[in-house]
Amino acid sequence: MNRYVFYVLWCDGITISGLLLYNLLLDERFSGSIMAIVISALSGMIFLVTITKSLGHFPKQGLPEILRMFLPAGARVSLLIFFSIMTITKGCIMIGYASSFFNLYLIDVKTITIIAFMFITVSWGATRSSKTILSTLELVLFICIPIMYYILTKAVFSQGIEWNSIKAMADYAFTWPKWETIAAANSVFSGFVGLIIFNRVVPSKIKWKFIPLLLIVNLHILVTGLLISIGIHGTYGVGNYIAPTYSALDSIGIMSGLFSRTIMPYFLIILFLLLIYAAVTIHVGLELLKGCFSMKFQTNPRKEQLLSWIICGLFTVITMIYFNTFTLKQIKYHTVNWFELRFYTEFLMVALIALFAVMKWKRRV
Amino acid sequence: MKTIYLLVLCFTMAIQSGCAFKDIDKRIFVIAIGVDKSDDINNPYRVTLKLALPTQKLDPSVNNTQIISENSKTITGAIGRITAKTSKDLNYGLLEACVLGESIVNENINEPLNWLSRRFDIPMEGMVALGKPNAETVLKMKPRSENYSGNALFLSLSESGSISSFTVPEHLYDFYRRTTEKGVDPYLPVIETENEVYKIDTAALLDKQKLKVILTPDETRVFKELLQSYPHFEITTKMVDQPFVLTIEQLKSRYTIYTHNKNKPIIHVTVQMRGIVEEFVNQLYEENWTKFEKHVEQEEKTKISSLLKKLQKNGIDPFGFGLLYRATRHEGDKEWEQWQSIYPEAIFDVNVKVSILGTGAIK
Repeated sequence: MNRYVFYVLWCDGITISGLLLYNLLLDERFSGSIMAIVISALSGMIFLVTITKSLGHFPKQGLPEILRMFLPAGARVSLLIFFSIMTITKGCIMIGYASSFFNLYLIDVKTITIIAFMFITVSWGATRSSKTILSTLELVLFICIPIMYYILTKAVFSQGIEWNSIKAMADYAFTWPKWETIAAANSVFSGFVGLIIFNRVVPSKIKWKFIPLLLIVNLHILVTGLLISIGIHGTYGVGNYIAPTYSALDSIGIMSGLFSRTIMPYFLIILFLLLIYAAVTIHVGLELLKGCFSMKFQTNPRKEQLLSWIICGLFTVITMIYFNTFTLKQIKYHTVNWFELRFYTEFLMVALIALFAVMKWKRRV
Repeated sequence: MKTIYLLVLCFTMAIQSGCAFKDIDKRIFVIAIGVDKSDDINNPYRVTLKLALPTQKLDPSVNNTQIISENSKTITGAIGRITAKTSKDLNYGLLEACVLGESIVNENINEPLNWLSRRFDIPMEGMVALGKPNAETVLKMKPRSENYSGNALFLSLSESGSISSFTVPEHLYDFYRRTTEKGVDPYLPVIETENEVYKIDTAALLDKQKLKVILTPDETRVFKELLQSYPHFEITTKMVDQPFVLTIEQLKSRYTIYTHNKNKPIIHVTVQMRGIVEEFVNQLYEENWTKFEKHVEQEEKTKISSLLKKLQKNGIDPFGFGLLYRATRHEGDKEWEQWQSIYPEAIFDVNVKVSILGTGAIK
């Protein structure tokens, strides 16, 4: 197993669950969010196995090259533009959400300023080469994961957790979830989107034994966060909070050196993870977009960089306007719908690559 | 080209307005807040803030806090008026104690509690307490032992300083959880002032909105023993006309609810304690300890039963038997309706098991 593949999938899972999913799933806690996690784990694993097996047939090729082999120019360009917009939007939504949440706690700074500064960093990261990004990803995960687990372990064993509240939630485990909830929970496993580009530099092969490991590390962070929130705020109280997990972590004293409020080191980690996550996602989106152009364009580094920066600048402005116009309540409503669209997009992506893999295999035979 | 990039970067720094962050010398930290009912009918809330003044050295004799109070229609309004009196920006990031006056707890706690939970900058980890006779008196008092401005209250309330068997600590998040969760009711430690010390030896029990009953210190000791699974208390009884005191070192309590017989639901309370003899004039090492254990068990059993019956009579459930019922049954929303008819009729079956571990340094 190539460890970089694992990092891409891991980083995606923990960042999305840390920032967004806790809120969405806790709102649906009585109407089937536990079942949604189980179903999404199944579908996520099916997607992952299919895409890694299929990409094995295209060594050192990304999605643009694969599409170039099988599709006419018109279909290829429109598909690539659609995929790249969906991927870049994912990064933008996460940056916007994180900025809004940071703004709730750090009242002095405006959301728009935080978004601008985050985009400067992220755009710089996203315009580097795939190899640079992957090695930075490894570094960031090495710094963040231990601290994250330290905080979560501290929280699970703290006096404040009411285990009876968590047990009471078991009654609602077998409620059939809404489709939106499944689509949202599924995003924990959507890290494989990165592999369609990183397949160029690292082979996306996964040994069978690493699939349960991936399932465990991604679900573990998700489920622990949900348990802590319900344990600290109670089954009904948790619904009263805007950001239940942040408030829950705020309730636990860690008394470690500089930090008296647990929320501050947690925000620091989330910030690190978010920056690298957004850089990875936007990098993938940019590479997909560059695939629309001719080979001659792609080999000209000057033009390539210029295009990347223009696209990043465009999305910065759109994100700033969007998060400045709408309230967090409206944005949350839009995000749920966006998650559904993302699910269909990823399904299409997996299906296409699997189809082309079968075609290539048949031709050779 | 690179020079142009650098110039552009420098320019972006210039257009960022530099006053977004206020420096620490322009801020003042609120360390405790008190909410009371005022005598003025038009401005019913009286809010008191305890502000920490920066000092150059630690000196317990220097008064390093400032108290400001204001009346208003709402809590936010009162805070706004207090802000008009201070020169520095109020910062709630280190707020450690929220004291609710007895008058407000007697009426309705929802508004002050809502205000405290709604603000993002107030740490949910802070302590809550009931101030008697009012919150302002409690905040105005400065204990002699206090080094850092205003931390004496936090040290006694949070158990990070002294650990007393009569002080029941209550955090803000836990208090809010208990007011929203079905099947468990809130409680508050009661703070009284007594020349230059805080006296926190009773607990106030609330339903979801207001004060129901204030326990006596002895009941509070039993209450704390059942509430928390870590022991810091002594049991005092009389053996052969001599006072006999046992310091408890280990404690395990378990609750089970039996509803097999629909007319007679039973709540089993099992408490296991192990302790060391701390005070007894006579020799006891050579004697059979079972006699002593049985005596303590009997005494403790009556105390626990009478406390549980008192709570049941008042219709409050701070130990969370209702939540335990919801956790152990699997019928969804119906459980809560069932429990409301079960609790008033339940019979308590209390089992206490005491073991004496040793007799201390002498026989």
